[in-house]
Amino acid sequence: MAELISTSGLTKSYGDKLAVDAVDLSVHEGSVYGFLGPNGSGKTTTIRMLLGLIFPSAGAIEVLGHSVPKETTRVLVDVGAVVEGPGLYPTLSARRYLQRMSRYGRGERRRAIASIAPGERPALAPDIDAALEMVGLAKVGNRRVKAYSLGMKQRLSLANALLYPRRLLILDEPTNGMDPQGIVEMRELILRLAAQGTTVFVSSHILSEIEQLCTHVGVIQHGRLLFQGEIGELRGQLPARLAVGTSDQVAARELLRSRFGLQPRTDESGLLVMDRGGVAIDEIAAALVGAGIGLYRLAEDRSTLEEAFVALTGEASDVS
Amino acid sequence: MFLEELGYVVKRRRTLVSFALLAAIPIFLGVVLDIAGTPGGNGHGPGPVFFDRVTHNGVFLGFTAVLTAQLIIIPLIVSIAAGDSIAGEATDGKLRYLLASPVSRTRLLALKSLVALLYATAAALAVVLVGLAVGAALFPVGPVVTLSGAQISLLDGVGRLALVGLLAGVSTFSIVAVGVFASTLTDSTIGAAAITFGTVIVLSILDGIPQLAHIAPLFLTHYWSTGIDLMRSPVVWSGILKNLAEQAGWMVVFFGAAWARFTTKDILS
Repeated sequence: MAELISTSGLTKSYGDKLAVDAVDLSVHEGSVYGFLGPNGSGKTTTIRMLLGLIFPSAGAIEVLGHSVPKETTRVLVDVGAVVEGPGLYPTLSARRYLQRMSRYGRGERRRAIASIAPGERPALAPDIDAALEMVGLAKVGNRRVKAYSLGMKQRLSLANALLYPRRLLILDEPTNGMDPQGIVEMRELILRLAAQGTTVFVSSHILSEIEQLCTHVGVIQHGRLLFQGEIGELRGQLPARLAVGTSDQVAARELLRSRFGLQPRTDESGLLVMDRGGVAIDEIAAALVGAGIGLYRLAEDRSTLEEAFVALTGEASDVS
Repeated sequence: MFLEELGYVVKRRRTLVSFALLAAIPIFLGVVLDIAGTPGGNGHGPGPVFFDRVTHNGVFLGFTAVLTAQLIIIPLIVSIAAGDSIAGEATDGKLRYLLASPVSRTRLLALKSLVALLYATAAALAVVLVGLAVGAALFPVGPVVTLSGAQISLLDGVGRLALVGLLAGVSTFSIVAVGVFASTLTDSTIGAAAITFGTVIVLSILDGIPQLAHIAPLFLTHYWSTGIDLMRSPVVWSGILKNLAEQAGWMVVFFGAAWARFTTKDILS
C-alpha cells in the first residue's frame, strides 16, 4: 500500500521551544490512523505542517507523493481537512459557506483535474447537498451559522472537508464540542468513509473515541513520537492481564502465588486479576482445576489504549 | 473566485454602511446649501473647494463632495477595507480553511488586494455619482467654468468630474497597499486598519511641516490635491502624473512587502 503521509525528521521550533521534535510519520493508504497525544503535545502543529499552514524548521514532508510545503495547493485538492475547530462566517448560511469555499478552491481543482486522463477525471463541481446530508445538516443548511451550536459548526467544518471525494482526510479533533450522539455519528461516518477507501488521519486527546476507529496509531508527547504502528501492536507491548473467577478466591490466590509467583488482586467485580507474565493460560487453568478449585471464568483482558498510553508516556492522557 | 469575493464584499453589511456614509457627504452638503444658501454669496467664501459655486451649477457638488471626502472619510473607509483583507479572514480561523480550499497564498493575496483596490475606486466614484445626482436634483445644471475662467460644455465638465473621482480613488491605492501589508502582520482587523489610517494621518501632518519639505514629495498624501488640476484649461498634468508615480511606488513597496510576509508566514490563527 502506498504511503500517503510520510515525514522525516519533521521539526518545528519556536525560539528555544521544540513544538515538534524529529517526527517520522508514516501513514499508509487504507488505514485509519489515530494521532494521539495530550493537549499541547504537538499534534496540531504537526497537522498544520502537513497542510502547509506552518513551515517546518527542519525535516521533510510528503503527502500523496507530493512535497509539502512546495506543492501544498496541489496536495490539498485531494485532501479534506478539519483543523483545530471550525472557521466559519457567522452571517453566512451553511450552504453559502460551502459554496464560498468551493469557489475559492475551484481554480486549483480545475488545474489539478486537467492533468488527469480524461476518462478518470473526478467531478469539478462540489456536491454540497451530499456533504450536508453526510454530516446531518441537510435540514438546517439554509440557516445562518451564527445560530449553530458548536457541535453543528464542527459538523459543517467536516462537510467542507467532504465537498469532494477525497483520497485523504486529515481531521484534527473532529469531535470537539459534540454531544455523545454526535460523537457516535462522527465515528460511524469515519468508518463508512474508510470502508469506501478513504484514508483517514485523525487526532484526538480522547483515547476511547479513537480506539474503536483506528487501524494504526501514533502517540506523541512533548513533540516526540513515542510510538507508531498497528493498534494491536501498541496493546501487545503491554503485559497481558488475566481475570479469573473461582469458587474459592482465597485458595485460588494462594495457589497462584505459590505455584506461579503471580500477584493476584481482587477487582471491583470480584474477579482475581493479575499480570500473568509468561505463564500460559492453560497451565493456570489446569492447576486451579487440579487443586479442586471451581473455575467459572478465565479471560484475558486486552489492555485499553488508555492504559497503553499511560504506560508509554508515564502520565494520564487528560493533561488539560 | 474573483466574482465570489466581489459578491461577498458587496453584500457585507459593513460595505453598505460605509457607502451610506460616503453618500451622506454630498447629500448633507447639498441639503445645507439648498436651505441656507451660499455663505458670503460672492467669489471665494469659506468652506470646501467650489463650495460657493454649487448653487449656481449642481455639477460642482460632485467636485466639492469628492475633494472633501478625499481628505478623511475615503482614506478611513479604504484603511478599514484594506486592513480587513487578510486579517478579517484570520479572525475566527477562516484563513486556514480558505488556504486549504485550496488556494495558493500568492493568489489569495492578489485577489484580496485587487478587490480592495476596486473598493477604493468605487468609494470615490460613489461620492462623485451621488454628488452629481443630488446637485442635479437641487440646483441648476449647465456648462462648467474652469478654474482658469474658460467655459467648457456640461458633458466635458461631467467627464472631468468622473476623472477627478477616479483620481481620488487611485490616490488611495497607496493606502490599500499599506493596509494589505498591515493586514498580513496581525489577525486583528481593527489593528491593521488603525495602523493604516494612522500612517495616513501622520504623513499628512508631516506633509504640512515646512522643515520636511525636501522629503515631503515621498509622502503618499503629498499630491492628493493635484486632482483639481483637471479643472484648469488646459489641464495641468505634471502634478497628476507625479501623483500616479507616487501611488505606483508605494504599491510596489508595500504589496511587495505584503507578499514577502504572507507567503512565508506561519498561519497560526
